[in-house]
Amino acid sequence: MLFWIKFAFRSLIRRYRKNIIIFTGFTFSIAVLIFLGAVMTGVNDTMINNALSLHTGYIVIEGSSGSCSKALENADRLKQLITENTGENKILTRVSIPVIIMSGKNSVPVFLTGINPEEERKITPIHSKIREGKYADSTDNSILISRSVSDRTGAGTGDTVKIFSPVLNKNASVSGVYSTGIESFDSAMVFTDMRNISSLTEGELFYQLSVFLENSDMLEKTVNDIKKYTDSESVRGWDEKLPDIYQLVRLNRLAMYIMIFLVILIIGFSVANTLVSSVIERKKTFSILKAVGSGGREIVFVIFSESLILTAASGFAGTASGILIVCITTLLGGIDLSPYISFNPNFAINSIIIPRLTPGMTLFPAVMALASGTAATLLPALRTAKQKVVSGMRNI
Amino acid sequence: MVLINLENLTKNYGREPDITNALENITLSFEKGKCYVISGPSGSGKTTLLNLIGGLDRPVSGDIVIDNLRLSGFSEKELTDFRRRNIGFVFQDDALIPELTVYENIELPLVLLGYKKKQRAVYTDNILSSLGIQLKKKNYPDDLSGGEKQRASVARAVIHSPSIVLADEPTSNLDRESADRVIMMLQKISRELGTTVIISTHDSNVISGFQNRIRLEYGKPV
Repeated sequence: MLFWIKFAFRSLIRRYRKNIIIFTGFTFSIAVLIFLGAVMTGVNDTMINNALSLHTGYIVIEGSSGSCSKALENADRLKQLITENTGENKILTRVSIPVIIMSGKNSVPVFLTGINPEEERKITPIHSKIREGKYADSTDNSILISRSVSDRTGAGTGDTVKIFSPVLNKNASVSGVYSTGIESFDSAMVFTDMRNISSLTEGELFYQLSVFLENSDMLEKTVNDIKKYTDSESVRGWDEKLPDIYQLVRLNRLAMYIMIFLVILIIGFSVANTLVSSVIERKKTFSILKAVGSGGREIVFVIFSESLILTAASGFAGTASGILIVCITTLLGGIDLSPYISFNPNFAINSIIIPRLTPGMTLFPAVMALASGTAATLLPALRTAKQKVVSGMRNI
Repeated sequence: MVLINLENLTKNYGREPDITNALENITLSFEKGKCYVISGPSGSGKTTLLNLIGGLDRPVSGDIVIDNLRLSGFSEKELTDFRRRNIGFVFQDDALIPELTVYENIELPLVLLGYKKKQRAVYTDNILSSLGIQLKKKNYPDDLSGGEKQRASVARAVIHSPSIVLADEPTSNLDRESADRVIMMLQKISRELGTTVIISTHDSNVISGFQNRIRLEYGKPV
């Protein structure tokens, strides 16, 4: 077998001018595809992070309890269990209730959410999105509203608003106004310090734990682990909580895989073309081999080996180059796409894309190159194996 | 003892109505261990006859019997296997494989027969030195002279001790001295190894050196 592999290698070297073009084409395409794949993964990461870091977290655990103290008691118990058993410690506790905010004659339905401002500052970026006034605190039943709610109610920093629900009618003062740029979030969320929540609300409260994972790849495992310690609470990963983002991420991945498939397929045709012409040029050589007693098996093996050596070498070089380009881009601080996407709500928080390599996206182009190169060899190899010796010997 | 029997052998090329008769109803026999020369003008059917005996092509009708084996009943795979074991070819052009060194070209039949590397080395080194091309063993065919190439071809044809060596115009591209050397080499192999050697040529100098001569004209012996 070694003899035939050596033979295939020498054949490639002998026709190095043609083969170097294929090698370069394959290497370049694989490197570019790996880089694009990493950028696509980086875009997805940024999009997910923007959506999740703002408020939701990677995993959301929700339950309901009769009173504020009972809700907080349940939430704290669960938080302790999760930290002890999964090691995750970036967990935020919130309680919320649907209410109507009214200022003058204007009213808007929102979720009034009790937060721990000190903890929130450490994990979420809402505090950096405050456009006027200050963050929610425990003084004077204050609330933090969004620019959207402010515009619709006409209330601003320092104003007093009414908070309504079927069982509630309270006054609160506006401590500040924030704006994230994500309308769906801004129009629905009003914050207050957790310590105000019992004086501002009555009736059944919903409590929520948001888990911010260090490693997003651990999502499924952590969700399953958490489900072991919960009873009536619902545990949802971000993919269930934000299906629109999840679908967008999947669509991006699918589009990337289709692009890789098509690019490599096109290159596969060029390999087939070169191999066909190379095999025709060597009709005499293969005929001599057959005359001496080589079977179709040896000839198919030689042609396949040529293709495998070529695509494996370019696959290796392309993958190495792709990884190198990604590493350099990451070291340079990523790609700033703010001129193009800063008004897109999915990139409102951060529009710097850090390319990230995933095993699938890194290996797929090289594997595809190997597969298409091998498939491209099939026809010329079989045709040569079946070729009559005499037809190739006529020129000898 | 008859080794090769050709019975009413016919071979045509082309399709109706442009059929060319390369060989027409030939009956011949070749004895084991003897040296034959087939002569005739271009297009007389010399190469076709060698191709048929060597199992590179199949006749339209008639039979080829070699060592009591009827080639017409062989499948392509069986024919390849038969060729691998029993036939050695020397072609008009040197017909060495340019990707392989002289050494690798010569050991090729042994590779195909599954010999181990050490066994191959013994046989190959022996034949290289007996044919006087040992110093060229690491060279590629492109680096050799015409005579050296043809000697390497002869070495490749006989290294696995086939019962038949078929040489198609082996001297046509050689100078007189090299041509004589190649012919002497083939005759020596026939004498010493008991190999049946069949040489096709239109070189009168070569023809005159053989006792067993067959002349073909228009696909028939004359």
